[in-house]
Amino acid sequence: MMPRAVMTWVVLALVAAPAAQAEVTLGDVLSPTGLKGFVTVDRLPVPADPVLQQGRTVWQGTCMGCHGGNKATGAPKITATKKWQPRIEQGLPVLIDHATNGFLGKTYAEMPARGANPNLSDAEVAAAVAFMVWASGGEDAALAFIRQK
Amino acid sequence: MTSYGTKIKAALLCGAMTLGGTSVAHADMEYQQVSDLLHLVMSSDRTVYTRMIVNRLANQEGVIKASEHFEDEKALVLPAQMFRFGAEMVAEETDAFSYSLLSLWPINKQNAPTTDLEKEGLQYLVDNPGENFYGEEELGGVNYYTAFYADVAVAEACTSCHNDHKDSPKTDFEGGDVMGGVVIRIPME
Ligand code: HEC
Repeated sequence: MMPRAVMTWVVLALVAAPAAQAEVTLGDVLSPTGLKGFVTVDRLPVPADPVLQQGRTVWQGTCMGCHGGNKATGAPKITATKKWQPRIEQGLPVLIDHATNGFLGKTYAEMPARGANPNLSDAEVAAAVAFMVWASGGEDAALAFIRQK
Repeated sequence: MTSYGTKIKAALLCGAMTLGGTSVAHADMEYQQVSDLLHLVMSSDRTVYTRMIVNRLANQEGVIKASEHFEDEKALVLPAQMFRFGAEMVAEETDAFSYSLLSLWPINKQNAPTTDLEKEGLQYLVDNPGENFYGEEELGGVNYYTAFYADVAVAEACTSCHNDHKDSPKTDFEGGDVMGGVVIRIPME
């Protein structure tokens, strides 16, 4: 049994959670192995930039099922900076090319073209890549890429 | 949990699996843990088949393809078929547990949920990405522990084949979507 004081604290934390959620920042979510458990979009910060915001929506619709941390897919988990750092070093144009046209990794895990959602436009895929990079340790790279566009 | 505990439980699992006819779950071991470990083995094997055999030979090297009609087309079996053949072999060998791949949108009607718990579990997987579902049910006078694990579209081939298949009830799958679930059933003592 939980002591009463702890229980009260847990209840308070649960009640306070929705208010706290709006203030989630990159610093809260980034770590070498990323957030624990499956990462649903509501656990991620909301970027100020409108392109990244669009990317967040696209990410939720098509990319989350794999990049939220489904191990069987082999997709690098969002917020896991160690997994993403070498990928981000390739530069956004390469990442966007891989996400748009599809790509087989070193262990033959498949990144399907456009996340196997042919309805996504090039711009939507690019925005989702930029958002995922932003939320996985590549804030500077993502913002620089968007500014230069 | 200590690694010592893990080892004992793993040993029990191996022991129990050699005894056809009794339940795999030992009194000492939680049903959930047994089914999670069974699922880990079966899903890892299938993933290795998907990547190292199908993706490598069909997508990367282009030397053979994978097809539902693998005999006629002298092709590799699809990962989902490989998984089902394994389930059939296990069913011939033991009553200690069984497993299957079911879907709310099956191409083959035989793979639709039939029990109330199956319907509830599969819907839960669709509504709660990243989560498993566990329950108990009584079927034919036997109590079962039943576990559900999401089966996600990991490749373009999964979604395009299901979306284009004449017998598919759903035609708008995307990558990463929950297409169905692995259902593991263990009779409880
Ligand atoms: C079916 C699962 C799946 C879906 C859906 C998916 N991805 Fe991926 N993605 C992968 C896998 C697997 C990899 C890693 C491949 C490897 O390197 O082993 C990957 C890698 C990537 C990479 C890194 C590529 C590189 O060069 O390292 C980017 C960028 C990416 N995905 C973007 C996206 C975006 C954007 C979406 C949504 C529009 C998306 N993915 C949807 C499975 C998926």
